Amino acid sequence: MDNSRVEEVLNAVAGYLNVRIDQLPVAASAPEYIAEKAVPIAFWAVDLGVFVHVGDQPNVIAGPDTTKLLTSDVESLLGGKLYVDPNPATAVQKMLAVIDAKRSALGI
Amino acid sequence: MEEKDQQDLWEELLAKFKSGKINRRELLRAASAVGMTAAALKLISLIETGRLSGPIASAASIPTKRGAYTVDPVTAALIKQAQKLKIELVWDRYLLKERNSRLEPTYATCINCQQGPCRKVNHGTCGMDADGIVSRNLLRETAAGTAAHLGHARRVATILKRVGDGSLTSAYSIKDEAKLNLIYDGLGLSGATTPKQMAREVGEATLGDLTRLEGTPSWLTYKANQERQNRWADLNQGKQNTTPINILPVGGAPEVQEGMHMATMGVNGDYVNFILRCARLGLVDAYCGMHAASGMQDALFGTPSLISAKSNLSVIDPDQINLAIHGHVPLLAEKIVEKANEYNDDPSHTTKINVVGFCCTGNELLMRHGVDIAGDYLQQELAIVTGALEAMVVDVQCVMPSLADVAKSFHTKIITTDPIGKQEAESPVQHIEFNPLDPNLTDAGIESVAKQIVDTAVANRANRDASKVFGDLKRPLRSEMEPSDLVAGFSTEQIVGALDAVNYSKGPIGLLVDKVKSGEIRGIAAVVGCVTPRDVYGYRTVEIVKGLIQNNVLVAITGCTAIVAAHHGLLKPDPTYPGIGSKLKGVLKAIADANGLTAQNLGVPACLHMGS
Repeated sequence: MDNSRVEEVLNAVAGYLNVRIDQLPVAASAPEYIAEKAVPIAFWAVDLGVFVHVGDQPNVIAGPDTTKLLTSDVESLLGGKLYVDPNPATAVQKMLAVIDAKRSALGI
Repeated sequence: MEEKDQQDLWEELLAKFKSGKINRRELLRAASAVGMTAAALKLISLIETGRLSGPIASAASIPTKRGAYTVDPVTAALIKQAQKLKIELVWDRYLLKERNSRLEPTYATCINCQQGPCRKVNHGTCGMDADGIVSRNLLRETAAGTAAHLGHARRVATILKRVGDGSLTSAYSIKDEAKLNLIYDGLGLSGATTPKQMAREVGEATLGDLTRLEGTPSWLTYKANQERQNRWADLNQGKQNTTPINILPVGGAPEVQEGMHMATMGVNGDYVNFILRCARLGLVDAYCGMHAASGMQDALFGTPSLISAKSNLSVIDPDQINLAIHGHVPLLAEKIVEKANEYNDDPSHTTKINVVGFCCTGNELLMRHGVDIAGDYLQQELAIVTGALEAMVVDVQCVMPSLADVAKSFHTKIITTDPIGKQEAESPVQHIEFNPLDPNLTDAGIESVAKQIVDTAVANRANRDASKVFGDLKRPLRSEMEPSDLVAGFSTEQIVGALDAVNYSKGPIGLLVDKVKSGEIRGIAAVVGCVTPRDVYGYRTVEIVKGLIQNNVLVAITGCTAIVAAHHGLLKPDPTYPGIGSKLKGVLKAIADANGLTAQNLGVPACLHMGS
């Protein structure tokens, strides 16, 4: 429920800078998601334009087009996308790379 | 070949492959001999690209180490105790089940109609292809998750409305009138002159959002920024010659209904359409569910502010009467805490009640009252294994049906409360109903349920078998069994308030933005969600949080993720800022200084616990 509070902070920062949320150097991670409730939350974060790491894939890999849509193509529609990685070390590196890329795009 | 033998052979091959004893070619040759080439290819690719973890152990032992990571000593000790007592835990079941289902995620499986089940196929009987099957399954999962959050918001809105219309006058009240005012204005309401009128109208507006058949939910218009609202109204915005794609939802219940409609046999065959529906339900979940529930709970019970407490199973104290509260909706939990405090205030009661929290109801009580948090989803069975838990009261969501089985070996009572959240009625389970949706619910009824629960825990203390109390919990605790110190209460208001104390010329958000610009804060990450039995307990969460804060990324954390991070000291207000990147440390220290924390030998953690 209180994940909603995170959006309040993101909106305040995006509003102050007059940029979109997907331009901010932010990322989300659900390293150990298991509940159904986590799935709409992940979609909402993607809707907001946030890069979302999940530690387990939703059960979609049998569908190659679905997998590609969720982990890549959806970004052009909404600004966010999913990234699946059970390995915390590489997930951290990937999140840092996303944050750094957004920083340089903002010129900071 | 027998199914079981095949599984065993497969296990053996995979283990050899993972440990490098055989190479890809040898694995494939062996897999081909048992007709599993396709599965082997898929698994090799998944393991090699790190998208699927391989086997981690046999069911005989629950792993507590991975690389340099070790499970916290309190949980490790209780897992050992459970094994000694031959109590089956969530990890045992996972490891047993995993042997038989590791290939499952690589199949497109549909069990929705009577032409099937259809699995391991490219097309179902109806002709749905693999993408259609998996994206439709995901829509069902999304609709279910959304329904749970809507159910939570509905319960809170109903109580808020009833506080407002005067049909409940004493059991609940408005604790944060300023927040209620903000919400009232934010939802575009006007004309009310008293907090009660506002409460009724906010409750009604929220229930209206849950059932709205046209227009946009008022909570979405209030909370989402305009740029996003425009985008959701047309995802093809600005593109020539395209049909507008609108994912702006109407009301909560109609959206879940249409989502489930879409997921029934023979409606939609376009995977993109399924996934866009999931994206739409994400908005329903956030604005009709999460934002609404969170805001109304603040109005009813207070907006969280900085508060300290302790975490982990060793907050269960054998010298007291231990009552655990578990679930997600804090309506009854608030009343139980009140009743327990009344009991404890009576000097004739020499043995006091120790209320401890689990999961998100636990997080709610932690954020607003500093109630110690005993554990997360994976630890709920271990609370009973302590042998010192008089009762565990549950509301809805994330409650393991195994609790009753574990409780059979001890004196613990499992008390279910919500009419949709019952367990099989055997001796350890007792249902004491609290139904926030019942229009006949009265103040007296609410008080009596809360008191009955507290009385049940108190009376059950006499049934405790001292010989079953886990010895390592006896006070004084050995240092490794001590619970962890933590601070929580980082609502948006508290974060802004803490930044404001720095008195920066550009204001609190200006300060945050400038620290991000300067690179002192490299970025912000929200680490959220559950704890999984698929890996060593806490490994992924703890390692990710550590990696982020070491690299100067400020972390906002919620839910079970926050609880396991707390067990590892990551929410501790440590003035030495261990493991935190030097730039981020400087920012945190400046905030701690400005808020008078450094003077009390405290720091601000790099991991801000924002709640449930």
